[in-house]
Amino acid sequence: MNAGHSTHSAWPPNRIVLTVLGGCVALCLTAPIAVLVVDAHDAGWPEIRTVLFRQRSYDLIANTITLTALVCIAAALVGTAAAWCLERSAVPFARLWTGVLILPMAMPDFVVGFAWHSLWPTMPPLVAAATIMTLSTYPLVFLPVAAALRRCDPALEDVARGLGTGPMATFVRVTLPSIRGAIGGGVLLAALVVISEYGAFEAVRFHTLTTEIFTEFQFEPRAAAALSIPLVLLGLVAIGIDAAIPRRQSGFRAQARTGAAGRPSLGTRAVRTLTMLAFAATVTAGVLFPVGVLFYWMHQSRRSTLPAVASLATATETTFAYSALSSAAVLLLATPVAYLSVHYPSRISLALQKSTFVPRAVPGVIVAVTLVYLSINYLYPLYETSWLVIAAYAVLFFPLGLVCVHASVGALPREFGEIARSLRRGRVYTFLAVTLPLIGPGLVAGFCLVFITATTELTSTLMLAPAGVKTLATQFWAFQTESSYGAAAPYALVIVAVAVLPGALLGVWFDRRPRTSHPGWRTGDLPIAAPQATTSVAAASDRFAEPMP
Amino acid sequence: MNRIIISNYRRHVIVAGTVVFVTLAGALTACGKPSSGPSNAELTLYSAQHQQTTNALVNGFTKQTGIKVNVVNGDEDATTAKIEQEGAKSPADLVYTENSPWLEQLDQKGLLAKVDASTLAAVPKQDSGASGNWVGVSARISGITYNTSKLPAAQLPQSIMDLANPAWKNRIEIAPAETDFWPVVSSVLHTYGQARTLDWLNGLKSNAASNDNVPSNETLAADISQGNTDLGVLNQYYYYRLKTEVGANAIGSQFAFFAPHDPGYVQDVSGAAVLASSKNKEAAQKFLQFLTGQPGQTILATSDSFEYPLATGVPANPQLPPLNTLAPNAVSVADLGTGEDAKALLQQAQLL
Amino acid sequence: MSAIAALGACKTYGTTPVLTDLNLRVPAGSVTAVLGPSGSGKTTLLRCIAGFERLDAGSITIGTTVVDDGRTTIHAQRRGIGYVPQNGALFPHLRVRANIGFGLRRSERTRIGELVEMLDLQSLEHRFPHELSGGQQQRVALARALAPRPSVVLLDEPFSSLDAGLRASLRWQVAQVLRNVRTTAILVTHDREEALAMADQIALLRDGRIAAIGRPRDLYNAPADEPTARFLGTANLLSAKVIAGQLYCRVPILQRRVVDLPDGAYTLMLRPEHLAITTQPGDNAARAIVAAITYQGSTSEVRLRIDDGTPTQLVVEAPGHDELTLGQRVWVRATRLGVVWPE
Repeated sequence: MNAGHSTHSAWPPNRIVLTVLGGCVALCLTAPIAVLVVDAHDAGWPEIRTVLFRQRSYDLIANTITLTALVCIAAALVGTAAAWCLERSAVPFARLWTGVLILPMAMPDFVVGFAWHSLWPTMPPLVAAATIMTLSTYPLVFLPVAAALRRCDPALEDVARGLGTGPMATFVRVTLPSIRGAIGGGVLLAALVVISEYGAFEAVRFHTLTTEIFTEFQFEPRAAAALSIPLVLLGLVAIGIDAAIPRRQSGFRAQARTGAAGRPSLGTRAVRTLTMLAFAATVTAGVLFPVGVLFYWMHQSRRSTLPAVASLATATETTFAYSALSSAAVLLLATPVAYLSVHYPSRISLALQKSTFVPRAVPGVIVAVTLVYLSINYLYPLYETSWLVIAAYAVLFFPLGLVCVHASVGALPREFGEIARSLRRGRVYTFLAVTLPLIGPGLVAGFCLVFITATTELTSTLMLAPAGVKTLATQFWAFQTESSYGAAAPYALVIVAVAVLPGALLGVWFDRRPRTSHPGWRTGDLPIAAPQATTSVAAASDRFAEPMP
Repeated sequence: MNRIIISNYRRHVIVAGTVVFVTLAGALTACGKPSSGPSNAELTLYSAQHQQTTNALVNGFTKQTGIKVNVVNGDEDATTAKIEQEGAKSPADLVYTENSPWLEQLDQKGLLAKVDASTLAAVPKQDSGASGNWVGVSARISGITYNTSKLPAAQLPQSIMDLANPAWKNRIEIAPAETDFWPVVSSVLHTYGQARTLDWLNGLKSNAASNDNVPSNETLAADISQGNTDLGVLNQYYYYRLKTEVGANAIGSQFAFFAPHDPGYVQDVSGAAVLASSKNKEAAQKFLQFLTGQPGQTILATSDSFEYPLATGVPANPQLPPLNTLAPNAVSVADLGTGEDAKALLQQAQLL
Repeated sequence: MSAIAALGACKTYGTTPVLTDLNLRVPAGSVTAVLGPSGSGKTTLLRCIAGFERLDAGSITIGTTVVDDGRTTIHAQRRGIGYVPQNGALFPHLRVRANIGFGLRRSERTRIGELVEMLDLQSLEHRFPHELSGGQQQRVALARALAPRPSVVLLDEPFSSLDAGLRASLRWQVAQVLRNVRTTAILVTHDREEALAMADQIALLRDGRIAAIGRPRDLYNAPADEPTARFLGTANLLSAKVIAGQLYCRVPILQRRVVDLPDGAYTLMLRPEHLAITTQPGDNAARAIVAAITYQGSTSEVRLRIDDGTPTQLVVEAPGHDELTLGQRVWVRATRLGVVWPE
């Protein structure tokens, strides 16, 4: 078996170059964590001890863990169920449903939080928080599981059913092992989002370690840094659990069903209708309900005593700019890391890749603080500029972009580059004519994903935005802290509008039919396939397995 | 066909390039400019006061003097931390806080410059910093905001210490992270000592149950008005501002003071100072003068701020009971200190 | 067209040696099939010749240029080779015409028409790869490789993913095309029928080196050793003796005069078609019982158990119209002398 080809004159570029580049990226992204540790150290052990090791902290950590566990389970169930229904039953308007089912991800969590709280202030905080976060994170599971189900050969399930296994048992014993990895990847991202969430929990009065950090930060930044360390540890635990899930090797799989085979038609009309109703209910709870509440607030149109600092247009422009630039930055930074993991998989590349996930567990405000520290002390020209905001976004949302770039680079068969070379085409031409068009859609998906998340980012923006610069999120927040919901609502609505288009693009792209039956090339997969395929060297090179004679 | 390939290739390059170029161009022009040092005609103000108050004052100042003021808003604890972290490199000229303890803290760290004597003379001496490094601008009084349908006026607690009694279980909400609450804690501490204050805080915590950390005072005021809870301890202006927003018909709450000289009946001062690191001290002093002079104080009195102007001879907003009829607890600005003690106690009670 | 020569080629992956001191010469303009079991390094050899891998030691020469001598190499782009991988690997986002013309400069685009003509792709020019069948895709892949007039064409198991019927016809078509364009071609395969049918020369790859090389006919009828014989077809092996210029087989199916062999013990190799079954006894015929019959249409593969107390079995190719039954007693004799190897 050929393990780890070493090619000279390379496309992809030299292993060493890639490792250095990837290492630099990982270093930059994890610098905030390093500053965190330094800060905590500076705060002094007594302060840390007072703040960290007391009943309130234990209660908060318990809250965080409970909520994370609940949301992970719920998001996994909802996401998997939605993906399974979409891929395995002939639901009409499938494309529409795909685009629509991921929209809840585009809703800003703090808006949803306020929507729910304003209508049901007496709902138990844990229930409210769990519901909001589940609705917000199930798309992170839905997308990779749907992609994995699409790759799976339904014939396996047919065979099992033919052998007399019931539908539930078939799912557990045949389907589940193939999609385990995808579920794991999605749940990991969901867990990290829950751990670092602030706005929504503030709204429903659910106290977690993160809300505590935000409070503590206001008067004792260093202690806040100390409190962030359990979060980082929780994040590492989540990453560790995800890595421990056994993933089935892709191996040699039968020719993909292409063309008219498409989706098998299971279930009766009643089942299909029920499925559509379930989809509709989810989308209503996740999207229509908060949007409805926003309109209700606007209709109430209470006068605000707070002056409008920035017009809607300026704030929109700023939000757009920040999100677009950080998405582009993430894609640029993610490319060497993705290429490294795909073409030269090793323990080092895996470590580099996973290390970039850690900042996601840290709340935006802490990342912001560390960037302030770094810029004041080492990069003063950058202090109080928009570049810091973009840097914060890039650090926070890097994993989302990486997962997309990684999956699309990984799906590109190596042979294409070699063949192009044998046809006398140089590196640049090959990249532009072959690589880019084929991974382009995946890159666009990555861009959209980071864009959507960046438009709803609040706390780090509050910390880092230069004087007088407002985004939609910060304007919404400013109004709602004054309880001027009427004035706040338009900003939230624009956030939703700005996020809807990329979200729809994401869904539409995801639903494309595969364009070739080349077994090594799988289009139509959403690139949020969790980075499982290259966790082992053998899997990465199985493409070159010589078939059985 | 080669043409297809070449044109595919070209098309990709053009499209990708255009998208990238447009995005970057648009984004870069929309981004805030990097901060250059302000010119002589510009000041930078770090304000922790409510934007209603600050904006009105800043606009008035600019209209009178022509000097532009860049305002950076933030909570006073975050703003103080920011100034401390920036140190001598701070781009700010002025700081304006809601409560006095933060100015005392900055003063202790030597970050403030001396205020002009004429400015200090405009307000009562006890309402400014003893060292003369910061000046009081307006006053705020803490009291009870309560829901009128759930709580008849006869049943109002006389003392803030009553709120720790089990009789108030699940009927109050508190916002200990809001720094307006800390002077109240300091006042109780000053009157009763540490042990009793701690007991009182524990009582409050248990009575507030899951609402022991309401995100903001505005949310607390809205909760009270909507009837989610019976009462809360708030400065006077929250009630009046909410009434202005929703109208006298829609407001469900009312404001009342504690019994005279009760520890919960606290007058604190919102003040401003010039930073030692300022490169524009002359213009900054002009701003302070404006704040404490007749024009500034009048703006305060007539705007939606609903705070009490400190300068003698400027009447407060007619909706408010006049300052000289009030009987707050005898705890001075000096007694309130830097607020460290209040913070420590709140942490000990695990409210923070 | 150029000749290809690999001398002492060595390639190791990690600690596993894949090619060890491999020597291969491919005459210009000919088709050589590299035949071997999976894991023998066929693909590695091809990739080294193509320039996608680098040799650890030894050299590869294309024409008169040394493209790889273990130290310096010429990039794949400049070697002038065409590569047809196992699954075609057509660019999925380009139509057939664009795929074929990928390696052509603008001025050479008339060549696309020629290739479409040559590989019979007229109605498919404007389709995308996913709209083509497997066989059509392979033809397009070959057209694409041939477009820039390479001096060498390398094919990596090009027909392995196709079904049997298609394979045969495509094989013939491709062989024709390769002969017409007169490029040097190396075809890597594990299918011996393919190798026998298409190649001018077969090279057997075993344990990292070329174990045998020669014309298909020669390798099939006169292989040098048992593994070679077995790889190219069914082989019946029998012990034999030469005494005083006469060859005697232990199973009495053959007796020949052999002048150039010294006396001693030998192994005799006979192909199934070198044996014949009769229902009548005769000279040099051994008694046997029919143990198994596999009907194949025009022929039958008959397995006989020699009736002499030993468990010797022979595989015989009998005409399909012969009606034999299991357990029938027959006689078998050799009709040709196969190959004889000394023990």
